Amino acid sequence: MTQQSSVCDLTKEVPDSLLLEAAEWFAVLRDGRASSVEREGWQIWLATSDQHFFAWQYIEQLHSNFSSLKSCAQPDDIFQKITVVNRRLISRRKFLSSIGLVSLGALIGSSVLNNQSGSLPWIVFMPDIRTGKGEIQNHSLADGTALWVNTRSKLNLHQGVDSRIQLFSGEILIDSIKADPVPIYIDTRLAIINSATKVCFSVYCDQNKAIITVFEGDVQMTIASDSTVQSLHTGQMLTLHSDGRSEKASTDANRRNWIQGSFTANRISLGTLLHELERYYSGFISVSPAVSDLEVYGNFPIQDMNTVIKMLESTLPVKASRPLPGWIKIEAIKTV
Amino acid sequence: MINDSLYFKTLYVEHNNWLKRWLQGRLGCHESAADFAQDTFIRLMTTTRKVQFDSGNEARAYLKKTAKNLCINRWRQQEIERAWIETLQCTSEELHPSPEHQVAVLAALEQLSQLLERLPEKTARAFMLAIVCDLTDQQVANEMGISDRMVRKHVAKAMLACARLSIQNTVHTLLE
Repeated sequence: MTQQSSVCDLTKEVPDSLLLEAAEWFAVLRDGRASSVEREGWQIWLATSDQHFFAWQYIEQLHSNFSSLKSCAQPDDIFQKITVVNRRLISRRKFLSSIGLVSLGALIGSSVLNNQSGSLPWIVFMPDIRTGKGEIQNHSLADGTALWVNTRSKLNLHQGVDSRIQLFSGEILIDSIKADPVPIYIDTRLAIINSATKVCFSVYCDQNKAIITVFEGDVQMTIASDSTVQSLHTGQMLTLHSDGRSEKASTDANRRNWIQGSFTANRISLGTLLHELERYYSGFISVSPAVSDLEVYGNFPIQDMNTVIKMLESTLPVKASRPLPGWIKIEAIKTV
Repeated sequence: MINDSLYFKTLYVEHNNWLKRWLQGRLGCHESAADFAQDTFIRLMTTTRKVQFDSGNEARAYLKKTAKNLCINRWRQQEIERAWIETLQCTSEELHPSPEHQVAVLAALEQLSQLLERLPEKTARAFMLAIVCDLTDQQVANEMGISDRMVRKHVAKAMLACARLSIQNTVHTLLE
């Protein structure tokens, strides 16, 4: 199993004092109103060494982690909710550090805690296999079946007389066409998918939906909401929503193209394309509304954003800039 | 990397029941105590760190610490997820962000929760206004009644805390 280790060396390579300097420069430049003297100072600082640049990138990357919050609920609301969550955690933490509850206390504690935590058995915090952003893994199961794991996925894998996969989030592709397969079960929150024959299919799941796509062979599935059993055959794709709705369609090739590292755009909007590719890009991509509806065609390499940008710039009236490392901004070419 | 299985078995036999009892005394729930104990041992078994204790007490101290961290992390995820679901329930469905976006939001909220508990109140507020709301230094300064220079100080302090936290988390993840 591969592990990303690039950041692991960070503590050794970038001393705390450099991170502080990077954070200070970030605070100066953040709102885009720094003076030219300040900007020059930053450029000089940045060019001092690779370490300086690395520290800067690290801070910048952290900043982009919070970008998803900008478009959602009221920040004040977030602030308040997090404050409440943290306060509750403090009191729960105290339980852990206490000497222990006596039996009566244990009973009360039990009901309080059960009530507080609710039943969310699908929260996973230590999966067997986990991929980072942009990472695609290929595993070979004991029976020769290929298991592909797409970007940002979490799953557990048990192998015995059959193969069992608990897919918590993300996307996998199972290919047992060339294998002598044992039965396989894929457990998602919305359905359990299984097959005992040679098959090639993919399963995508997130909090709200699961998408099962069969490229070759047959799969059966038991739908969690009503315990009905359905079959899917070559060329079929089923989307299950957590509210119980479902839709059948024909196969979307992009549910498999990722194992080749590509995404095929066929008359989709630029905004949609970049939204898809952002799943693989560990940074932030912004598209100006003026160009986000442009239609795009072609095969795009999902793990190479630089090439994608070049392709877009050569075929569409757009230009890309990088206001800060990790941030790609796509706008219309200004006509004079 | 998997640690030496014989040594691990000994640890499990000697301490599993003790750990379960210890957790049950604190959580008051037999099932979650058993779950957390199990998870603690799984983590111990799969950590890439070399696990070797000089004494039973040292092993138990390590197990206690790991189990505590697991509890806190899981509770945080649960609390955040619940708060988020509440937020969604208060907004009409067509305004809900895409599932992918929601995954990013949950991750960001978790990070935010960890970060804010490490920051003094004013720094936390400045961070929210500057980073999450994306206000300019001047706007944050007006909002909080402090100088631009102080805003920058708070933001730098918060970003450094954020970097330290992230490094700490990354190291943990890689050692899992």
